[in-house]
Amino acid sequence: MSRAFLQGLRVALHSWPLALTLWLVSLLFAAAFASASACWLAQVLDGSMATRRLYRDLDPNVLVDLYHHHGASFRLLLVSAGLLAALYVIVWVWFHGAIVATVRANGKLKLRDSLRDGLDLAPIFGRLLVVAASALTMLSGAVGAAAWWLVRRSSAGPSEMTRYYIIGIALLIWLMGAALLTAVHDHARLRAAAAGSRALAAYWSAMRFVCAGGELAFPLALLLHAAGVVIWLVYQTASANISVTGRLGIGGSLLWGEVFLFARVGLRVWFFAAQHELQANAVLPASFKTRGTEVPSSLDAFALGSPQLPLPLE
Amino acid sequence: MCPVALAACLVVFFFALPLSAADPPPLSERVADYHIDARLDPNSRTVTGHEVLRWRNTGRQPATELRFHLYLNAFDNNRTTLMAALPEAVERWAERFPGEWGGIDITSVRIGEQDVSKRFEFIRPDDGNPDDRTVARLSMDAPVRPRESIELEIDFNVRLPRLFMRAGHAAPFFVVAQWFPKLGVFQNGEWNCHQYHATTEFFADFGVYEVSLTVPVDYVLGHTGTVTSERDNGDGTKTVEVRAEDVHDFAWVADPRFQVVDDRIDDVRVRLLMQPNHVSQAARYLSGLRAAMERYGDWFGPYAYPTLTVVDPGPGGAAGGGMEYPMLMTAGTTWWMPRGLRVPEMLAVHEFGHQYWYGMVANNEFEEAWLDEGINSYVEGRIMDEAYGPEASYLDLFGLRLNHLAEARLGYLGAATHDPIARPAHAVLDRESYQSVAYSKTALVLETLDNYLGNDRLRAALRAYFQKWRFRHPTGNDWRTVVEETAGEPLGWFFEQTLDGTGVLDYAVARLDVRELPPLAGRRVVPEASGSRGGEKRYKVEVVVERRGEVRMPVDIAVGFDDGSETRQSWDGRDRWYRIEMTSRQRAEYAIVDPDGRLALDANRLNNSRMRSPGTRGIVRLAGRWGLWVQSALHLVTGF
Repeated sequence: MSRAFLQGLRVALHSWPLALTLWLVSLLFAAAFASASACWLAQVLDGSMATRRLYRDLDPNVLVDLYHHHGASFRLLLVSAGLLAALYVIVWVWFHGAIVATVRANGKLKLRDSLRDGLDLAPIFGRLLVVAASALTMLSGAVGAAAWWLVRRSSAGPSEMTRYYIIGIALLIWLMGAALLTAVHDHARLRAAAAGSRALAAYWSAMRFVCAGGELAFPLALLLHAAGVVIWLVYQTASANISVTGRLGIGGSLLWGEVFLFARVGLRVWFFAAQHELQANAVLPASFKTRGTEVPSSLDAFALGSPQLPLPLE
Repeated sequence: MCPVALAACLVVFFFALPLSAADPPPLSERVADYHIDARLDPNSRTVTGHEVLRWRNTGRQPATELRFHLYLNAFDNNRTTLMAALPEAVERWAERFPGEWGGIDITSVRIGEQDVSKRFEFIRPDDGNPDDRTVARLSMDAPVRPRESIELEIDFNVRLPRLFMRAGHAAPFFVVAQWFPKLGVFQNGEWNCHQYHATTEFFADFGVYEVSLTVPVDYVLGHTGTVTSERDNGDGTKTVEVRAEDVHDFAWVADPRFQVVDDRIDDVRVRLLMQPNHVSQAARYLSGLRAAMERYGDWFGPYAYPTLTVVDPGPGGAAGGGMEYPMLMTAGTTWWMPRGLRVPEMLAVHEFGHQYWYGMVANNEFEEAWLDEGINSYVEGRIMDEAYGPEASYLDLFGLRLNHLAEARLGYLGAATHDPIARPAHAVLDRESYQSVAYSKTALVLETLDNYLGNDRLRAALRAYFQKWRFRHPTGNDWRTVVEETAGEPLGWFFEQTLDGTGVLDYAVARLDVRELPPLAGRRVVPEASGSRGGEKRYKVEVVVERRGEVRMPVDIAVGFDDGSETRQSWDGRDRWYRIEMTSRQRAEYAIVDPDGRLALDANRLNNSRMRSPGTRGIVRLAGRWGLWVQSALHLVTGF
């Protein structure tokens, strides 16, 4: 696991052009929304002193007036954010393909090739996303409904802490479940990319692999999430010490935010690289094959069906 | 003993005797005195009570009947006047707590030896709702003449509802409020005794309450008044005798889990009844209380009672929190309440303020809620801003800030134009409108008046109002009179617009034109009189200010120039617009109406200013931040 963790980091670092590209795309989306917001603000602030005052001071009275007098147009702005998010998710189906293609080549694929291969994988990844999102929705629904039912049942009880214990445990279960499903989703992408199999079969195979404890896949996922939390803590700690009153502070704060988001993109590549390394070590440590190499039908069958042989891929 | 010493002792004795023997005069007229024996059964959530009521007719007309509030009957069914106004909330509550209705049953009424129970009948003076039993009438054989008294004995049983609003239980937490047959107020020959509505509070006469409370021995009690004795009954119960003078209601709470935190602020014994998990929040309540008690004492006068009890509601008891009763207030917090969210402090300040306006001044809350809630909200805001900083007194969390002004505007603008402040609470459109006008708009009106008169003059007026009218049930007109007298100027124009009307105050800078004057050209040009000439430019500045609302107030208009100078003019606001034209060597950069923000009631501050060349940095900052937030959210989504 530790070897996969470190090797994944190495591959992720090596894949910095891809990470940079993906971050720039996210920046493009952010810029699109920021531009829409700026247009909206310029319209509703209508040349008032608030256009200048907001630079120094997020005056709550300005926010109150925006909320009350321009709430309808603000909701339209939120709708545009929702549309951007939907588009971004679709684009990232392709980008996930690019990441998987890159890590399968140990980060040695050219950016253009990564994106091209990613596009080839987009249809199967799209179907996988639907399967994975359905699984996450079911998990969320089940945990949420159970927590709601328990909280409701205990609300008439004398102990205040009961509901907090229920909510806390439910949150923990959900987080662990979401981490598990994320790991399954990632492994399913890797398997689907390798075997070109159907989404449901790849997902089921990955689920069995992760749940069976194959090569400590789930602990590796948790370790990677922990790395993400560390990065977030570093970001927050530094952010708390940046004064956002002056030009330098405001610019620095935005720049620091972008550095953090770039690190997040790198982390995403790291996730896949480490998990790919784990799979590769599990079965075929010596012979990585690129996409397009023929996969023996027997191995493909193992990949999609056998819990005993966790990863007979490629 | 020497004769001189003996003589001195005798002198001291004779002078001291009357001083020590005479009780201080009562603070109030003490119209209705109650002696109540009550026993709580936590298992059945019931209270059985026996009440001896002595009422004195202090009016000039005889009273042929008595009228009682039986407000716990508001929770008797889903069609009472209170419950019918909140159908969705009632439906959720009834579905969640089936069969947990509450109410009060009168089992017997006696005048002397005569049983008059059959004369006791429910009436619906406000809306004729046959399902509402929150007011009852008792007709009498002989009227109670002016200066005469009458004594009644009433037996009653209370079933406490699951807490829906203010009174009830979230067992083992009990809020026993509005729980006994309580007389209305006999004014001008008729009873002022209204039904219990979703938007109304209370009105009753002052008196002395002697209440005997019997509860299980492990229960901790909080109540109006002070304890005179306590005994263990030896049967698993204890009885606590309580006396409260010059109060107009009596409420109590009971919970075996309460942790008692005692403190003293000035000369008042403060008793906090905290839930076990909230003890760490006691310091926050005390911080708010200290801020409030010290300032109320300085600004308006002393708190009249020796004790104050603050109740932290139990789990599921939030509906009983944030309420005021004489010498008793309920608040509310959680163990995780962030420091920057000053809910416990605000509740402590607000509910303590009620001890003055609701408790001691005791206006008719049903008919003029703003006199209590509004004045209280204004003073609360002032105290919060002073004690916790003017920029973020209510909220200072994750970069979000909220001070008194923003908080009041947030409440006001939600339903600004439905009802006038002076409208009785039950006659307003809905609860949102009630809260908007009775709390927030009144606070903003007083802020505006404060800025108009000056803080010292308004504070002196409120002090005079409190000093003159405490324990006397003043009306809104009494308040207006005191303010005008103290301010020394007629303010009818102000009150008519802000208290009696639904108009909005909104000034706006509609136009700011700055044009460089061309050199004067023409047949009879005198070079010195021309516009821009040589290197010296001259500008024509035109500012148009509009009054977009109905409310007219005098207002300042400032025009700022590129050399940093500023010029001001005043406008009486009578017309719909006002134009300023001037010629200047400097170029005007901005125009602002109400540059000092004195018109707190202004409904839209965004249109109060206009710049020649609007800034972009503020927009870029905010839009950039929002962009980053959206980008972060997008990354979260794609992490799956």
